[in-house]
Amino acid sequence: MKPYVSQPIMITAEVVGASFSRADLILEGVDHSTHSLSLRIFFNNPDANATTPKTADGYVGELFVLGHGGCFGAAGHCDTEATPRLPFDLRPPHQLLPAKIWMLVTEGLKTALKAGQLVVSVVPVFTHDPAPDEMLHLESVSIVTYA
Amino acid sequence: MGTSPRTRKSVANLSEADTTLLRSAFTASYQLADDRGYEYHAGIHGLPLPVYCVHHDATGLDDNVYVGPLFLPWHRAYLYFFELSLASLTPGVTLPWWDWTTPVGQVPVVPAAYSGAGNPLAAGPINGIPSDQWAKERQSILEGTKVDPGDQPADTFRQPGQLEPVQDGSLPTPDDVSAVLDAPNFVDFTQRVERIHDNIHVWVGGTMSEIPVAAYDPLFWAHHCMIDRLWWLWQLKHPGANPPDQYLDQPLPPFPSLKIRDTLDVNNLGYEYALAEIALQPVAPVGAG
Repeated sequence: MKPYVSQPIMITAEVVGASFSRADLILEGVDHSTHSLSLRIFFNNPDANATTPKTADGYVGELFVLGHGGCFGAAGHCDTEATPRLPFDLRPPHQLLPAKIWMLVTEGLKTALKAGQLVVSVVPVFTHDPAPDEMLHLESVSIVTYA
Repeated sequence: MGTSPRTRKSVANLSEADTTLLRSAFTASYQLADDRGYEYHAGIHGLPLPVYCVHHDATGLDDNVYVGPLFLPWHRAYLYFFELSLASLTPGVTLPWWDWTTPVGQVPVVPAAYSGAGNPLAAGPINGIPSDQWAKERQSILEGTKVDPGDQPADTFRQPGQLEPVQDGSLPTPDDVSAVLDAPNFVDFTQRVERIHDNIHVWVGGTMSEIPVAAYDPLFWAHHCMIDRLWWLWQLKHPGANPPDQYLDQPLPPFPSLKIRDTLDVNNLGYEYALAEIALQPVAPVGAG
């Protein structure tokens, strides 16, 4: 599966908050309905891919996602949007709704700040890649800083 | 007098007698096909449907959805009921925890107590899954691992550290765990510890990397005891830092007798995590020998 690569943005102390002590990278819409995988995060290394070692420039860390392995019911069983939720619906949400996950990237952002630019790469790594030609889909990628 | 808490020990500190007892308990559980046995308990987590386990739920909470941060409480309840079932079959047995932390530069390994041919802790039987569901899961395992587990009863298997193409999978370091224990609130902690939890499932690989059958691997329970222990250590470090109040009365299906608030104190569930056990012998009586 091909990595997600963000468009470059200019970052300054004003943009990230001059005195931030913590920065989180937040990924929304992470699919966990099929195979387990690792999402390796690189800053300012837009060419990073599944063969890029974790010692390479810009490696920030790794987020693991344990997968559900597919759908085991009849047709529609795992269609997360098949039935709109009605008022007074106290049932739990569908287990396969895409996840929101995050990781601390404080030191990585401080390093990127010195460069003045940030490109975020999210590189999927599987035991056996089920779809090598597909792009990794994420609903959003963002960074939040805290004082 | 039966009121002291059960002690969960580190896998690394199991005596020969402890290991023998644990293997006997799992063997007895494998042989029971009713709702006291392994097939039933492993099946609660994944297949057969419904899948009860809770993952990836810590955030993205929709105001209109009845959901909370269930990952840690649900698995604590799960371990509790499975441990009691083992102890009913083999009195005195408790679940051990696998400290999978591995310093940088050290090669990560599956513990010896859970390895080796003929060892009931090296693999568990997958059985009792309806044929249509097993056909789909069998195909998923084949796609994800390149190993066909075959017909039921099938054995679990592992592929430690074999993330392709570079096969550089690693386990969390002690520093990674220390950082997780510094998480300032429950939602942050559960998010961070679940990512570490997923790391171990993916590193072990094989059937452990597939939610529908992960709990059929005996190593699953030792891994989850470590996660549960980390939650307990974090609780001791952050007294009163519970899940948000609005979730405390949420039930934990299929465990009707427990809500989230019932899982907050391991002492209320009758167990504790031991760091070490030191056996002492009496002084030899005068004239003995």
